[in-house]
Amino acid sequence: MNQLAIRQEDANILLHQKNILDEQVIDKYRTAGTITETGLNYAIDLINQIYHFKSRQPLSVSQLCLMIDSLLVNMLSKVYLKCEKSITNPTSFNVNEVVSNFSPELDDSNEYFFKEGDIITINLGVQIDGYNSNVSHTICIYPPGDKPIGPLLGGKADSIIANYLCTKIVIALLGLSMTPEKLPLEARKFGNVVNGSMIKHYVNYIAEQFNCRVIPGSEIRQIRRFLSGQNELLEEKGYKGIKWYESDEEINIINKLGGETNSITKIFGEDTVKHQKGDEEFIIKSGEIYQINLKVASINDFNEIGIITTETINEYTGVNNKVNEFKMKPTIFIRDFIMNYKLKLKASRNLISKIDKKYSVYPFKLNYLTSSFPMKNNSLQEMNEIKSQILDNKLGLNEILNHNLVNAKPIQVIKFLPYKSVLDNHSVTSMGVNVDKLIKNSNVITDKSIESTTVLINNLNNELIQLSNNFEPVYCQSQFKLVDPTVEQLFNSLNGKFGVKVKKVNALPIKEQMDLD
Amino acid sequence: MAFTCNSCGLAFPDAANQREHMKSDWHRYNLKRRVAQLPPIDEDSFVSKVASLKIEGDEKTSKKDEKRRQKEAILEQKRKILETARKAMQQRKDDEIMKGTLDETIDSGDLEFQKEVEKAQQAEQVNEPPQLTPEQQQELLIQEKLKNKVDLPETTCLFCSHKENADFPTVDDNILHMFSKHGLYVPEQKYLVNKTGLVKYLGEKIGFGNVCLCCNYQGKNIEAVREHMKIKRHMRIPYESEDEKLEISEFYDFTTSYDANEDDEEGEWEDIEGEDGEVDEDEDDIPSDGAIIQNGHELILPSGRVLGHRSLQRYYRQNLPPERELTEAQGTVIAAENRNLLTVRDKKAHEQQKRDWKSEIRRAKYYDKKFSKNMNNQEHYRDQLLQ
Repeated sequence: MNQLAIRQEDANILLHQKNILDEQVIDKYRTAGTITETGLNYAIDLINQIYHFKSRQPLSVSQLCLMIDSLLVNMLSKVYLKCEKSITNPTSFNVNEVVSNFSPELDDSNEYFFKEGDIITINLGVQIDGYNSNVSHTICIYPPGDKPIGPLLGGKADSIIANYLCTKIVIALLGLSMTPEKLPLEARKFGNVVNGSMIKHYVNYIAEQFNCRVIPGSEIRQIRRFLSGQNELLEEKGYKGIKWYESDEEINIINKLGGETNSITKIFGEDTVKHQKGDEEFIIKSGEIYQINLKVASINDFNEIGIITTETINEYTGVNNKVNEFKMKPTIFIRDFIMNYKLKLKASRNLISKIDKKYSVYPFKLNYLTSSFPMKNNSLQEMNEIKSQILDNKLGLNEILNHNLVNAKPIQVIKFLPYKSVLDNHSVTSMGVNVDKLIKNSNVITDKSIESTTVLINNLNNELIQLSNNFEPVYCQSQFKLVDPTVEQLFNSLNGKFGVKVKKVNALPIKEQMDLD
Repeated sequence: MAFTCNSCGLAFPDAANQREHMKSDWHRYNLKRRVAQLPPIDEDSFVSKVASLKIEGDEKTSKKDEKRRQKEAILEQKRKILETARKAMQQRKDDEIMKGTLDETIDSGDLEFQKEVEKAQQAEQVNEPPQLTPEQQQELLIQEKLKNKVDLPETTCLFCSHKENADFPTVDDNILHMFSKHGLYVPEQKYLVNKTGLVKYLGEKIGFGNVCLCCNYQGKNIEAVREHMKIKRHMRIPYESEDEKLEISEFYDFTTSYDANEDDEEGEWEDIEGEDGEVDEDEDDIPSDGAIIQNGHELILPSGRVLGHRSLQRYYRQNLPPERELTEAQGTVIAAENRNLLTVRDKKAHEQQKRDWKSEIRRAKYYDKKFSKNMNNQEHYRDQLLQ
């Protein structure tokens, strides 16, 4: 295997100089933000039309994904003609317990539709010249009508409100990083400047106030040009960010139960933690761009102590095949560029060259590689063409996947693993605890909310630019209330006259025929 | 003293004097002597030497005068001899008229006189040739050649002797004859525009220059050249090197072979090929196709194909995988990559695993043994033959 290497000077330019904010770079970020906002707006509009206003024939999730992706690509093709542009996050609709990468292809055996009461997270993202903007927003399908009859209640509402406030407090803290003297006294016990552990503390605190937990896999991280955490396998140099892991929660529980951490065998080992705890002590500096991707789940339905974890879904269920079980092949793939292998099949060689050319470092779906993509007028004929062409690409995919040149992005569902079952005698064998089996048999959590946004700390104007997710949460009410003077003080810093200036990026209006601009 | 001259063995009070000395002829002479490993001479002897050399030079000029005087003397003698001869002849005529017969004695005297005249002439000739310049000599040669010149019209065979009467009605017939009989091949007939001119030129070369078409042989006359060409089979037009091609290029027109837009490059190509004639062509028709661009050790044909030099074939024949060109995105990701794909094996863990494998096999064998022992166990002996 020949390792690829980059010269030190080139690496310096690519990793540092190209990330320095100036007018042009900010404009690229803003344009990317506008496109994601427009895409999100279009997605919400489509769902409203289909499920709420009933003014449109229902479209399956795969069709919706394809239409939104087409819109994004069509919009990208009109801006910055000379730059490298692509989708960075294929549109996915994560329904209820599904937490990531649910984006069915047209040729999937099942056709998915939403139903009333579903919590849906829309995820999408684009990049222009490597400067990218990702967005996730959670909505709820209410009974048909112009407006919801009443507020959303219960665990779902808790998680949505908690997530909204968590995101807001992170934005406030990021804004205060420019003026650390305005930090409340209470917050200064974590340090006089805004750092990772301060952010993590407040996020966890707010989530707990609403009887929620942050789902493992949530991340607040600095993004750089072409490096926005699109590939989980990548071990990034100079990574700055906070991640949530199961092992943290487990240690918390053990401490609460009064046991000694060392005496009890932990089922979520340290080896799953890639980045050491010390990494969270990073300091947020102005001129950096942060991506906030928070997933929060309510544990209202469970009265016992347990850990929130995720299970990866695949097509195979093994011996215990249940009829109504959710199973699905992953549809989103990402090229792992460090891998090198000489492919044997002609179809796979063709496919990999296409991938390298168009979606080299960002995730993609097979339908992006067809000739009819992006669709011009969303007609059924175009969809059928794409459907027939996907099959050709699938032919080569197997060999590529087998040699890890391309990795599938896992479709995950949230599970609640009661700690009692971990301690149970049956679960412990001579080989240790079979975690996968435990997770498989535990219950799913449907009360979740995912919000993500990209925030630019603009050191040129001393302001924040929130590139995406300027939508208010759906109409909901929670039984919990947040009473904390420090947190309130932090929130107030966003509104006050002398507080943090937050600029927002607005979506473009969309016409039905996708006539843009 | 700092200012010295080693070759002359001198010392000077200052640099200016030294420099002046270095420029002098005396110093130069001593330098030459030193190179020839001779001891230096002092200034006086050098001056005397120069003076003696000057005298010698004067003597030389006087020698010239002497020669001229001698010459004049010879001429004077000649004139005298001629005068005496005339007188003698007149006397003889008178005697003949008187006697009517020629005396042998007079004849012998006449012979002597003739010898004298010849001698004088010879002396004249000996003096004359050094005065001829090379140009004059050439002129003489050309005149001589012009005398020997044989006109070969374009309808006459270049190689058949005039006795065979190889005349043809047209040039084409002539060329056909020369091809079939003598094997003369006219190259690039497709682009040959001036056939008559070419044959005439070759005819001139043989008939006038008496030069072989192929080698540098120059015969005394046309027959000699023809004989040479026949014996050596030199009856062909050489068309390999650039000079040879250029020699007859005026009768050709290659413009139809190249595209209109590549006309400029053609000229360039001609020049370059002159410098590097070793370029290998894989296809036969390349020399006629003018529009070839040379790029280092490669030739680029009008079709876009690239010809490589034969000496580099081992490099061309390699089957290297195509180089991966990284886009900026890929470059950034790889620059940020911290994964190490070379996994270092933990020695202790590996040994432990080996031990585990071994014990597993041992256990399996043990169970196998036990199982087969139980299966074959017979409580009472049974003779197979007595069944």
